Amino acid sequence: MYSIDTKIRTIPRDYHYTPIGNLTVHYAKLLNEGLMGIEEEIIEKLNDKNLDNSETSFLNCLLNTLESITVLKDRQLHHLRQLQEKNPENKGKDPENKNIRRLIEIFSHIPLHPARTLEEALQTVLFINSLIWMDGHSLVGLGRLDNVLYPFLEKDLSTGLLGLDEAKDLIIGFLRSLNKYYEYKSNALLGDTGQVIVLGGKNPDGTDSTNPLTLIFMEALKDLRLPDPKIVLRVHDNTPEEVWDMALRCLEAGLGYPLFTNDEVIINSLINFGYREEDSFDYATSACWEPFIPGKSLDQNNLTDINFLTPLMRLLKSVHEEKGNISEFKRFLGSYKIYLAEYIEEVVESVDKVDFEPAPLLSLLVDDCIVECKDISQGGARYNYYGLLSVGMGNTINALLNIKRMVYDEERIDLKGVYKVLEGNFESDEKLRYELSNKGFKYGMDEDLVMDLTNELINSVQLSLDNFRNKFGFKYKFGLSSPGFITNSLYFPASFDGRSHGEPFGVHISPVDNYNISYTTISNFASALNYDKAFNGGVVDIIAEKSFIKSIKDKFIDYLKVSFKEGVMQLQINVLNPEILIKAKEDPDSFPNLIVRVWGFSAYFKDLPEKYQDLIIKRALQYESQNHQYTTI
Amino acid sequence: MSLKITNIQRFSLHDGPGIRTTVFLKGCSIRCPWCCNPENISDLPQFYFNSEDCIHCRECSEVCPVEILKEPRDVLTLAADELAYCFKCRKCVEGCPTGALGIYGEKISEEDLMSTLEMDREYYIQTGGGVTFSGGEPLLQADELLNIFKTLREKDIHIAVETSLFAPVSCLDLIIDSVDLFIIDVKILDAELADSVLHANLEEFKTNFQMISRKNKDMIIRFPMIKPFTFNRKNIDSLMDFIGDYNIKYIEIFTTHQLAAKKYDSLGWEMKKQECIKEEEIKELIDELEDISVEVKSLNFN
Repeated sequence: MYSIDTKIRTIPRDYHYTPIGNLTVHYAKLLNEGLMGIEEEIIEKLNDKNLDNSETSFLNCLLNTLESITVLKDRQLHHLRQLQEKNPENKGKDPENKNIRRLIEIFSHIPLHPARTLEEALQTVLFINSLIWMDGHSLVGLGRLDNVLYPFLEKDLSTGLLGLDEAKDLIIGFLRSLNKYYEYKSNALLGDTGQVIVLGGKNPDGTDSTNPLTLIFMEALKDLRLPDPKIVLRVHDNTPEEVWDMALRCLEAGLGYPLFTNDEVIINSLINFGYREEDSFDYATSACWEPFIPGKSLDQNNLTDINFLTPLMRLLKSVHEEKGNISEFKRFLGSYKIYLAEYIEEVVESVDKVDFEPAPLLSLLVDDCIVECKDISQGGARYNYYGLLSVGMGNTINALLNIKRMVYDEERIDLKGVYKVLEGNFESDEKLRYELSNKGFKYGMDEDLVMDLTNELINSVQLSLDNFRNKFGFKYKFGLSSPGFITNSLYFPASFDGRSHGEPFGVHISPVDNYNISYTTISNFASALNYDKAFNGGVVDIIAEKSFIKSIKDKFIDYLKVSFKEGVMQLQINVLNPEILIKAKEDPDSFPNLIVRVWGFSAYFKDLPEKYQDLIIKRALQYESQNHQYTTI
Repeated sequence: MSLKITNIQRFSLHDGPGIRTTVFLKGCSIRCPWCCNPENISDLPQFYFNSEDCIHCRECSEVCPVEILKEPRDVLTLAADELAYCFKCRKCVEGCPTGALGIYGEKISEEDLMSTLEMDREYYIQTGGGVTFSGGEPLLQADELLNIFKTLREKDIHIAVETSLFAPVSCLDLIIDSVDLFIIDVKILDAELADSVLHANLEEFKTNFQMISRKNKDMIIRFPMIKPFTFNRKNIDSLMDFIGDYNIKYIEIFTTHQLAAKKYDSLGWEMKKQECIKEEEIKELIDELEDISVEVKSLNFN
């Protein structure tokens, strides 16, 4: 049972506050202790003599919230009983009535008491999840459900209550429920719901944490062919073969997920950054791919984007206006880094102004709000880091490489000329635009020049961010991918990588355009990047044809394994056929179920705005021609 | 020492075991009418023009010092014409902003080649892959390959050579001990037809094949199914007889595709259309081969 009152969101709120989103609550605690366990914890805390007024009133507010949840649960029970009584003579025979009777049993127990069975656990998650949505939060994640739910399945299997097939049926029902309200839950675009289920992963002792539910979740979604909810799969050196195999089967089915995320890189980055070791091993992701400790964090990982091109444009403009010049590329790069640092300061200032809306429901379910007697919006959670994302990095690297080559090495144009050309959007020099985008080394190549320059920019951002703490006293982190590669580009002027005004930026850690960059090339490039603090999402985004993946599945899995071993942080694969995309754009009614990966989510192709459709078609064609150009047969 | 190549393709998955890098060598000893790498036939550099990429900016005409390029496509005929004024200065190619005009073929030094080949070393080692030399006919550059093979062996990188074996036995003799795997294209097994269709000497093929077999080298056979040239009753019977005598790992069969049409066009040539081969016919061949206990892999593209 899963229902959301979609009208509640339309109730006016205080717009001074930003609702907290991009977050996953502590489902494991909820399932194991029940709301009554949490209530006990609050009451115990209230007995503490040292609390001040505001702390006491916060805890009382949590108790009120618990009471409201109970009222709502009782209302639901009442409704179920009414339904049952409508049809008393059929009691127990009619399948629907049987179902109702079971729900009455379940809701007489949960969410107040700990769940006893897988079914109760699933129903608890659904109930609380629906409340979080109705409470006005968006991009509501689900966390490591295979790990969280497995103890319940294990028990059911041992008592003989369930077999694996029945468990799969329950999971299918659960996923179908979450898929409801697809439109309501969508954020920036249809499908952008943030409903991510994180599967797999490495235990602190190095062993693998996958269990039968890992496969069941993937298989169920593959059979259902739903774009949402979607999977992030944590992989590491000991990820079992059958998990890789099932993941590839999901991709082959054209779901666009799982997104692979590399425990070997991320867990270290999290620990080094300041997360506790045991929490780091339990990471999930915020809506798309940003590592996040579920149930213990406020971490707002998607506050805004760093646009690497902004400081470059400002620098070029200032050189143009001041009629100065910069004599060497090294000095030009130095100036760029100064502009970058200034720009980052502005970005940080703008996000630190954000005030979050108090959220007692989340505070109940996120550590350590009760212990700290502080609402999550006030920094009550264990982790309160802020995360920034970035766009235009590939474009900026390519622009810098072009400036190095054409302005400094070949001396064919000066910096003022560069600015003028960009200001005029290449209109007087289309030839130059083509040359810029076609010649020389490019972002994504495993050439030292390119990798070193990219790391130089990453390090520069890290150094700048080190200077700041947010209002909770927590550090800033940033990531190398972002949903904003189109939205940020729409009104952005032309750039010296050969991009015209308004054209999309490069997608995550992928070649900006087609330069015959092979899959191993991009993996080597991505492996060489410094993710020390730049771990707030770093996705290699590639496109492969179905026939390609199908015919050489084992080799493709090998490719993924080596790439992650070498240090690629995250990777997603769109399995597409460009001809079908082109047909589907012309005739959407004939392809209603065609799914594509957009940024950190999958969606129906027909639902995408034209700009997104065009970009995917363009990239799919590029990959196709690259893969077909040279063959020995 | 340098090699004449057209391309180095990383992340090759069809040219031997594991993840590989394939080096396409320029220059071939035979002339298959169905060739899918026409840019590798001649061992000389060749101009190409991809009309799809041309933005009609006229840069090529403007930079031509002898002012003979009226249209970019002219480079295909003028550069090949001994009497034309073109002295192959390459200014048109350098000036082309989109890469529509270019040159197939470059000489690459051993050092540069090795640095590219080593980039995916981890992928070779961990997936049982390596480097494959294809072409064109790699045996024609045996002298140059010998050094590179030596370096690759020192670095424990697996070496495969894809060859039609139409080359002097001395070439094969030079490199045979350094090669881990031979991917052998078997095309036409009738001496007269091999001569008239492929301009090839079947004796060379047979001698070379026997040498590889004698040395117990790993062998994969590739058989392109082309009507009427290779895919006919007589040739298939010959194929059965022939491979029955040898110990091969498996045979890969495939029909050709039109993917190379763009490359033909870029050279100013036309790709010959091949007659379609039906699913059932392929199935029959697979059955026949399996009957003589040969493992078959069908690499059909579409």
